[in-house]
Amino acid sequence: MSPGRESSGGRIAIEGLTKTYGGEADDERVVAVDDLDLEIEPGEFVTVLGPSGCGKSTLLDCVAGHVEPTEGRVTVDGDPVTGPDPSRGVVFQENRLFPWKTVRENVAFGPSVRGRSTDRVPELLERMGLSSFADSYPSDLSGGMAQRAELARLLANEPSIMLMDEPFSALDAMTKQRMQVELLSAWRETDATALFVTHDVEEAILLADRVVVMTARPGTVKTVVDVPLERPRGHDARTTEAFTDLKRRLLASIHDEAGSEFAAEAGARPATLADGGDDGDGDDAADSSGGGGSP
Amino acid sequence: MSGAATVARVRRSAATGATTFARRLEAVPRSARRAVSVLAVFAIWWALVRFGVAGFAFFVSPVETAAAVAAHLTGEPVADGGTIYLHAAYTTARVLAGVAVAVTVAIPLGLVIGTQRRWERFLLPALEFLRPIPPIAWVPLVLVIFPTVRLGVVFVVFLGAFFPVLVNTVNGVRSVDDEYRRAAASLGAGDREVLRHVVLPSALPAIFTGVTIGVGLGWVTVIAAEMITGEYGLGHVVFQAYRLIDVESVVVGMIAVGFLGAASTALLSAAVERAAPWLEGAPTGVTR
Amino acid sequence: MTGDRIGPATSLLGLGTVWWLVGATVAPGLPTPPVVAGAAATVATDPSFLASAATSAVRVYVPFLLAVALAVPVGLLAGWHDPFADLTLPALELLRPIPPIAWIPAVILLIPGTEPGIMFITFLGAFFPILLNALEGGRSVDREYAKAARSLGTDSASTFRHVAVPGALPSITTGLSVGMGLAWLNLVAAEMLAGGSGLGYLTWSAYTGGSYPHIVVGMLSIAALGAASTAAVGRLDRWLVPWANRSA
Repeated sequence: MSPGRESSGGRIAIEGLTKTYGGEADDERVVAVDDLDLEIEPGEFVTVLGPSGCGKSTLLDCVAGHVEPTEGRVTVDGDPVTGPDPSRGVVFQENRLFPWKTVRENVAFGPSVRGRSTDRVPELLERMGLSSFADSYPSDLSGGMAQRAELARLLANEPSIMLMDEPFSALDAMTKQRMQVELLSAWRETDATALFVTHDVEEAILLADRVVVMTARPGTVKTVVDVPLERPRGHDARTTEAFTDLKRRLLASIHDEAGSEFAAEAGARPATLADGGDDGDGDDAADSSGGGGSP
Repeated sequence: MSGAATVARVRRSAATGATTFARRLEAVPRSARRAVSVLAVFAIWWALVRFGVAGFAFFVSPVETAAAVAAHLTGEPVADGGTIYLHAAYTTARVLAGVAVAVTVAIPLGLVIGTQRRWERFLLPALEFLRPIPPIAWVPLVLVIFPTVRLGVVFVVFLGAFFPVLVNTVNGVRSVDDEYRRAAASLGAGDREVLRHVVLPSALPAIFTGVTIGVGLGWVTVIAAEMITGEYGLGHVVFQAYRLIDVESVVVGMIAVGFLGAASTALLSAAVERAAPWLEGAPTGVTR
Repeated sequence: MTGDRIGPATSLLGLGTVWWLVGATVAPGLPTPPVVAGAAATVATDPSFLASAATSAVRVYVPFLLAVALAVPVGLLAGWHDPFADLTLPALELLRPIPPIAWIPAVILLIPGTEPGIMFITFLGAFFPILLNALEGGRSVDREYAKAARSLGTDSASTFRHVAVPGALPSITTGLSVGMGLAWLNLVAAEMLAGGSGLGYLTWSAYTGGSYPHIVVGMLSIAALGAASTAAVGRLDRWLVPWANRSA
C-alpha cells in the first residue's frame, strides 16, 4: 500500500476518541482520553499542550496505531487507523534508535524492511549533520544527535504524517532550542502533517500552526489557539510581541486548568479561556459530536 | 555501661587498624598485590605438602607438578595410556558437540516460548518439569537408554548446556522493550522483521550469557560423565589416575581441564565482542 | 494465568506420552511411567530411602551455608574495595576454572573421611557462583550512593553496611540460587563416585543392580529436593529484597 504523497494527503480526523485503562470495575478504571474530537489539515503543524498525565501521549499512541481506542476512532484521509503504518512516522520521547544498529543502518531501516531504495540515506545523514557518525552506534551519540538521527530515520520513510511525543524533553535547554529550529526547517522540506506533543509552552507556540490545550482527568480538548506567526520561524520569533502575548494567554489557560481541578471535582465545569476565537470551535466540536454514550 | 564503652573503643580501634591497613595496601602497586595473591596459592600448596598436612603428605608439590606438566606436554602418556592431547581432544569434542546441539535447539525454542503465548503454555511446563533434574543424575539412565556410551556422554553435555541457554533466551526475549517493537512497526517492519531486527538483537546479550553458562556447565558435566562412565577423556584420566594412585596425573588432568575451561570462556567472550560490537562499553540498552 | 490448566496438563501429558513411546520403541530398557510410579510408591515409605534423602540434604545444606558465610563477605568486599580484590581474586581465579567434580579424586586423597570430602565438593560447587555474584553486586552499586551516604555523615564501615550490602543484595540472592543448583549437581556426581549413601549413590546402585525403575525414582527425588531448595532460596530473595521484586 503506497501512502498518498500528494500534497492533499495526511488529513487526521479524531472523532469521539475515548481511551480507558485498567480493571473491570468503574472505580479501577483510569480515563486517559475522554471523548476527544480534533481535525488536522494536511500539511498542518499541530502541537498538543498539556500537563503530564493529561492523556496527550495516549492521544498520539492512538493516532500512531500503537494503542486501540476504547471508543471513537481515528481516520487518516478517511481510512480508519487499525495499526502502525510507515506513512505515520513516530519520534519517541526517549530515543528509540536501535542500539544494535549503526546510525546509517538505523536511518536505512524503514526503506530497507519495506524493500524500498535506500539511496536517499546518505543525503539525509548529510542534511542532519550526521555524516561523520554514520558508522557509529547510538550509544556514541549525544542526546541532540540521537534525536536528529531518529528524525532522519523517520524522514527516510517519507511519511505523510509525523508524530512526535515530547522528543526534546530530555535535552538541555540550548540543544532543545536548536533542535526545534532544525525540526521546523526539516519539516518545511516535506509536506507532511505534524502532530507534536509537549508540556513546554514556548515549544508549542514556536512549532505550531495551532496549539491544542488539553485538560487533565479526563483528558480532552480545552481550547485550540491559532499561532499567527510568520514562517519560516527562527530563534528571534521567541522575542516578538505576538509570541509573548500568546505565551501569556496559554500560561493563564494552563494554570487556570491546574487550579480548576478542585472545581471539577466539585462538579463544576472547567472555566474556558475568555478571549481567542478558536477555543469556541474546539469546545463546540467536543460538545456536539460527543453525545454517543460515554459513561 | 563501661563494658559497652570498652566494646565500642575496641571496635573503633579495630576499625582504625583496618583503615590504616587499607591505606597502606593502596600504596602498594596493583601488579604487586595481584602477584602476592597468585604466589600465595603456590606457597600454601608447597607448605601443605612440605609439612605433610593430612593427605598432602602423599601429594605432589608445585615443583613436581610443573615437571609432570612439562613431561606430559612433551608426550608422556597419562594414567593408563594415551597422551594428554588425545584425552583433551576427546573431552573438547564432546563439549563442542553437546553445546552445539544445545544452542541449535534451545535458541529457536526460547524465541518461540518467549514470543508466542499459546506455544509457551504447551512447551514450558514439560521443560520446567525436567529442568530441576541435574544433568549428571541422567548418567545412569543414559547408560541404559543409549546404544553407545560415547553418544550418551554427549547427550549429558547437551542437557547441561540446554537449560541455561533456553532460560536466558526466554528471559532475554521477554525483556525486550516494547517501544523498540513499536518503533520498528511504525517504520514498516512486519512480524518477521521485528523478530529479526528487534527481538533477536535485543535478546542477544542474554543469549550470550546463557551460552557462556552453558559452556561452563558443559565442561562440568563432561568431566563427571567421563569419570562415571569410564570413557576416554580428561575426566577419565583424573579418575583412572586416582585408582592407580598416580597423583601426578590427577593434578595434571585437573590443570588441563581448568586450562581448557578458561580458554573456552575467553574465546567465547572474544567471539561475543566481535558479534555484538554495540555492546562494547555501552551503558544503555543492556540490562542484567 | 490462573484459569489455564489445559496448557500445562497437555504439556505434562505429552511428556509422559513421549517417555512411554521412547520406551516402547527405541529404548526398551526405559521403564514406563506406571512402573516408575509403582516403584516410587513402595520407595516413598521405605525408611532407608528417606534416610538417603536426609543424608543428601545434609551434604548440600551444611556446605552451602559455609559457602554463603565465606563467599558473600569476600565477594562483596572485593567488589567494593579494589586493593582487597587484587589480593583475593587472582588466587581464586586460578582455582575457579577447575570444575568441582574434577577435584573429587584429589579430595579423596587429601581429605580423610568420605563425609568431609563430599561436603568439600558441594562447598566448591556453591562457593564460586555465590562469590562471583556478590562481587558483581558490589561492583554494580552506584558510587554516587556512597557519596550521598558519606555526605550524610557515615564512616566507611557504615557506608559499606548501608550502601554496599543492600545495593548488592539482589545480585547476592541470584548467586545463592545458582549456588544451590550447582551444590546439588556436584553432590550427585560426588555421591555416584564416592558416596556409599545418599540419593546419588542410590540412583547409581539402581543402575549397577539392574533395577531400572529405581533409577528414574532417584532422578525425580533429586529433582524434587533440588527444586524445593531453589524455591526456598526464591522465598528468601523475596523477603530480603522486597524493593526489587515489586513489579515481578
